[in-house]
Amino acid sequence: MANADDQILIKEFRLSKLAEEFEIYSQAEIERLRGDNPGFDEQLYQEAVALVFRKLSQNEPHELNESRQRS
Amino acid sequence: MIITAVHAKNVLRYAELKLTNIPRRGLIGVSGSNESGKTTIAEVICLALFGRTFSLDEEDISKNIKWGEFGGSVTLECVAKDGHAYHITRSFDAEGHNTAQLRRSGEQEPLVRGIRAVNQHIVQLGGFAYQQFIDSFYLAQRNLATPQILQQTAKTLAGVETFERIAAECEQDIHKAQEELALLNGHVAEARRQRTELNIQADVLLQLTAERNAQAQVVAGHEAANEERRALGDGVYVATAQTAEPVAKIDQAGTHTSFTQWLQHVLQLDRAIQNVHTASERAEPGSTPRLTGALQSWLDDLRSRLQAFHLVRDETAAHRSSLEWLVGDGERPSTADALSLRDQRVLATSQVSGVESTRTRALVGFVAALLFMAGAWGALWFLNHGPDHAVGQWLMQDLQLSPAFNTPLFVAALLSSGLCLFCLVVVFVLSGRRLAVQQETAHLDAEEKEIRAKIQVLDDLPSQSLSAEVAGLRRCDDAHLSLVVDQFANGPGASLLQAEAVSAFISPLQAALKTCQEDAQVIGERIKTQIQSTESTISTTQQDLTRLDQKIEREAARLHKAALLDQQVTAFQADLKTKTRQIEVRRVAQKLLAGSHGRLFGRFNLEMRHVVSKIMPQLTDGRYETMQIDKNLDLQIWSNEKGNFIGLNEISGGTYNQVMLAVRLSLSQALIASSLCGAEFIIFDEPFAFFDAQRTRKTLEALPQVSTEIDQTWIISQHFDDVSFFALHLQCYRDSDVLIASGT
Repeated sequence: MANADDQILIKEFRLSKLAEEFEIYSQAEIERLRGDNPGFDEQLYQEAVALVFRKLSQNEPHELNESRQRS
Repeated sequence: MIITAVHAKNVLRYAELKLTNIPRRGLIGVSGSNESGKTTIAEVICLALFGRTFSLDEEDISKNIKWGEFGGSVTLECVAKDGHAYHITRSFDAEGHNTAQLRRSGEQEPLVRGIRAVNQHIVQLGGFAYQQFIDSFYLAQRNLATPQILQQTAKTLAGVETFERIAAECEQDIHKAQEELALLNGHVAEARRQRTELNIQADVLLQLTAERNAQAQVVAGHEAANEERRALGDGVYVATAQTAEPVAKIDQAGTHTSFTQWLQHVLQLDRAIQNVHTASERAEPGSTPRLTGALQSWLDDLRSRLQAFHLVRDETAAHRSSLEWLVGDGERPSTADALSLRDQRVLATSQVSGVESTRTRALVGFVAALLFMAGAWGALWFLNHGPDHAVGQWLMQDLQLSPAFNTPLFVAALLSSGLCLFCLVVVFVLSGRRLAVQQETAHLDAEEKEIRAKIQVLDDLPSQSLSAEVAGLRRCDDAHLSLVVDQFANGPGASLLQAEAVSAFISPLQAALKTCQEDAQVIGERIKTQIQSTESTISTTQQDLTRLDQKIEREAARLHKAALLDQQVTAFQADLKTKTRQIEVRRVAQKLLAGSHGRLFGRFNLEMRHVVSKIMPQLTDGRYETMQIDKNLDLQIWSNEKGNFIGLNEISGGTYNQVMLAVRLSLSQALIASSLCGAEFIIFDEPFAFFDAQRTRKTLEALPQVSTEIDQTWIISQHFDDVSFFALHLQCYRDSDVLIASGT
């Protein structure tokens, strides 16, 4: 016979880590553009990524971020 | 957060609502007919937590007062995620007086007071705010029928809303930067317009400065020349004025003036004339003969007269030298033809010495001859007249003398007597000679003393007046000197030795001095005229300088303004570049954020599908297993019957509600995960409106097993067929405004 924990339907809900998801996407995009365009201004994109990180840290409550990282 | 007690007075339709010992785990059922106050219980909980209800916000809190009452209050006891129990109390009246306080159970003093502070603290304690509560922990029938609310919640939890908010912030930044760019472009255009208007010409300032420096040099040259002229004029004036002093001294001269003083007058006047000469030659070359000619002539005359007295002085010196030689202090003059007094005295002294020596020897010879004579005469006497005498005996026995020796003894006695007499004569003669020499020496000493007195007189004469000196020299016993003195006194010295002659000689000097001073004044006037003329030129040039300075100042100010404008343009352009870059960065950020949406949705969708797939089969009796949220946030469910995803509009109302219940439970779990809420309560308001009895039972069986965090589930329904599922069942009645219940 299964115990009480085995009967629980939802064990966890894994939320995305926004910064991580954004970094993965943006770095992939930068990599793609670097390969496609020899005159690609990578510095511009890196500044944009840094800006988003800054704004993310300002927008996302600390606990929410922490929670996302733990989930 | 788990609710353990609710106590409300005069809130909405309840005069009193008192629920105590509410079970912390399990289902809490609330049933009753329409308008019996079921949903009011949820409203009271919401009011206690957030100071507002679903339909009335904080501004309208007084509208929650029971009809006919002045004020109401609500107290909610709960266990927060930190594990502590808290009391939240709010009271409000019809006049808009609101209070709120949060107190930890068991403590008298509130933790915080005031509406705002309590609201903020509850968010910290629960981990969610009102909107999140509405989105996730309170599921009303109307929300089930409104998927847009679900979409918004999904968007928030997926993080898309955060990205969209950041993108919106970027857009605001871009808009602001564009406004600043427009402003900066305006500034640049204005600065450039002003810069062009200045019409700066290259090298103008340099030319003006060079011209100014040249003019300044001219002024400096004129000023230096004038300064030199003033110095030269002053030099002539001072030198001329200084000439008056020796002239005045000479004017005081007379027969009382010594030769040395005359010489000093000559020296001083000569020096003064030389100074005038030097100063006048510098001030006005060639002016000296007219200026100092008379003075110089008079001085030359005086100098020649004094020069003549030098011959007298030379003769006096020669006379003095001969006198000195006489007393032995000087060298022998070439004209000397005798011995000096000193030599004569030495000679006399040596003579005295020789006489004394000879006299001494004569005296000794006299004594010796006298003794020999006495012996000879005595021996003769004792041999011949006293042979018995002891002396006679001694002579004959011891000396073996006898009368046979009478003749030799007699001869010897005679010779010795003669020698004795001779010596005596010599002594007398030499004594006389010594006396004579001593008298001569005394005479020489007296003569030397007299000569020394003459020398002293000669030595004293130069300190006396010239006339006294001449008179003194005339008294010297020297013929040649007397001749020379007479020649001087009767010749060039005549003007210096007699009072009238001296006055006559000096009188032209004042006229000569006046001529000199008048000429110096004329020179000074000429110099003054030159200075005034030059000062006029300087004044004119300085006016030009002032005008040039003003031009330079204006040009420098224009250049400074131009430089400032250039700096402004450079700064504006740098700002433009920065702003443009900021816009570019934000555009790229927006692009990257938009591109990230798909990834976020994909991840969230995957997790939702995973979680929903756990719940949905339980609620739909296995007909529907999972769902997905497309890019437009539309919900689709997987139909096992059709083997494909289908839209919500393709399913029945009861199934729709089951599906939505499963989705909302998943979202609640997502929120719990996002905010670390811990154990939570959830309220389902009429979730079974379209459920048949079997579906309701299945759902009630499934709900306690949904999540480890959702411990306390409030279910509001008109009727429950079976209340055995509930840990606490509350029955509401339309005709009662009091509900008091307690769990076990």
